[in-house]
Amino acid sequence: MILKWTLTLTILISVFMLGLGMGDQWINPLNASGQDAMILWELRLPRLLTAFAVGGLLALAGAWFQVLLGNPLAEPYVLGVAGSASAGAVAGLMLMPDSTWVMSAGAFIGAWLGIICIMFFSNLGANRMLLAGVVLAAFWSAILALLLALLPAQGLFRAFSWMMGDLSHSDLPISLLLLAWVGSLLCGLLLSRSLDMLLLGERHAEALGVNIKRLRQWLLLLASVVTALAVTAAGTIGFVGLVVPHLMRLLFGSLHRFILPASAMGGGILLMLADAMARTVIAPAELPVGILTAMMGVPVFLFLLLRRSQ
Amino acid sequence: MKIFVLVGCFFYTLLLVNIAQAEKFERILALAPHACEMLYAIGASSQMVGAVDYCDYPEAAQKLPRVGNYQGIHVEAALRLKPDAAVVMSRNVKGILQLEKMGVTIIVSNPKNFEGIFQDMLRLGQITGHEQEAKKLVSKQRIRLQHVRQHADAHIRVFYELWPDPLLTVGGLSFINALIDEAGGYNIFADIPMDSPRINVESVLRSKPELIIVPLEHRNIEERRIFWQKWLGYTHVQVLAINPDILHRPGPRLMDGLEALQKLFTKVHHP
Repeated sequence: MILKWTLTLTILISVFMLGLGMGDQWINPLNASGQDAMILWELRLPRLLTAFAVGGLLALAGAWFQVLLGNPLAEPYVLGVAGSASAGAVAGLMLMPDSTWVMSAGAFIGAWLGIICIMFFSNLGANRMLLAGVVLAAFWSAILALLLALLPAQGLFRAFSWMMGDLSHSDLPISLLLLAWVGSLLCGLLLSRSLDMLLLGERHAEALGVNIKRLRQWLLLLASVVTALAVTAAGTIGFVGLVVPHLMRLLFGSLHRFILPASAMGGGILLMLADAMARTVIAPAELPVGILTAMMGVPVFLFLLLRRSQ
Repeated sequence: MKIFVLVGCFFYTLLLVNIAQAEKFERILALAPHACEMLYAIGASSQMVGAVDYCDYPEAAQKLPRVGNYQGIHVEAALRLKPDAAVVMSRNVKGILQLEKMGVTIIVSNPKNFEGIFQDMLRLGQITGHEQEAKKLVSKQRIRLQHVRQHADAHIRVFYELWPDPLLTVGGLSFINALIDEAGGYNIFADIPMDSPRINVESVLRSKPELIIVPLEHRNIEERRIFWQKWLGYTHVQVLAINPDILHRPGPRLMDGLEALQKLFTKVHHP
């Protein structure tokens, strides 16, 4: 176990250094000056930290949703929070097409709207809640399609680029994102024993003294808020929240006090690496980061899945 | 025998005249802004019956009935105007195929360079019966093009900020890249084999542009100037605006755009 953690930390640090160095030209992070230093600290570092925090938050939210809904296919966007955030962002773009921050503000308001809607269903069982969430998600995506159809042509590109995930600038301060990363990880660790019991089934958990109703409500709120923060900062980046928790279960077993910190780091690693690749593959041009997360994550995940089942 | 040949010739001429007459269109839809501008420029305005949302030049074009936008053509509204032809940029727009099925002749105009624009203007002149005007317009534009080419010696490193967020520019396959080249500048992203690649601030810094051109739509040029001067750190970079309508539409005003570009280049050299 100690070996695995040291390995994870080493990977985290090396990916961080790699992410700093990679770009259309390699810059040695330990020895940069002049314009290179400015590029390194003012352009690459904020972007890398955003990627780390957003990736970690998404993976944490994914792990929570998978327990909460008792479904391995659950991910942060399954209950429609991403849909309502996207609809909010595009609505903002329609109202104030020239403003730089309006998409983030719209996304934040939209995400909260989505969270409030889903909170009405927090007392239903896992399956019904999932069903309600999927239906709500369909509703939000219909609203999104409506807004996109009405959006003037100039706004379309910005809307699509936001929907594919964009880390190039975040309107949320990076310190807030990093703080959220730490805070949600701590909350997760506090809840980890209850989460383990919930995994055994609701009846068992109740017998072991867990207040199921309270737990589900808090978990839902926590996971949704974390998702809302991630979406506000970087748009809808897919795949990280679905696969990183599973990947960490394959590597670290099923106890949540291990899975949660591992997911928070693993999500950060995957997104930092994906963003570094997105900046480099066809440099000086860039790719949307959402493409890279799936392209790099899928092979690793399938490989581990096959090896585990053999 | 001779008589047969003569009669044959007579009918053949009749046929030709018929074709020529059949090809002269009287009720035309301009389904692309550049086509609309071309038709006005060759004096065929009285034959136009409809346009799409972005046909806003010249001012008279704004009064034409609208039959669609960039998402597609409203076929019923278009047919209600009883058009006999429609000038489009591509057949790949929703509704065009239906229009064609209903007997409207579709004329595709998607010129990629000045020669293409000239050819299309001449073609539109032919089918509207304004051949002379079209020829006159084209020869005037050829002279202006010649003039620009003779003065294309600025060799300025240009960054064209197509869009600020996400940051987009024009690559080697873009039409605007060709214009920058033609006017004597050098597009710093000419090596990217794409039309409008997404790039980042870092690669702009590294390419050290001398001139940043912002196609000003609704944006505030001062905001972009502050942004770029902050990052580039040196003050001799010029951030100048240009009207996107004269650069982004392959119509008769593109020549104005080319001349405006060249003017910006000389501004950098002799501020």
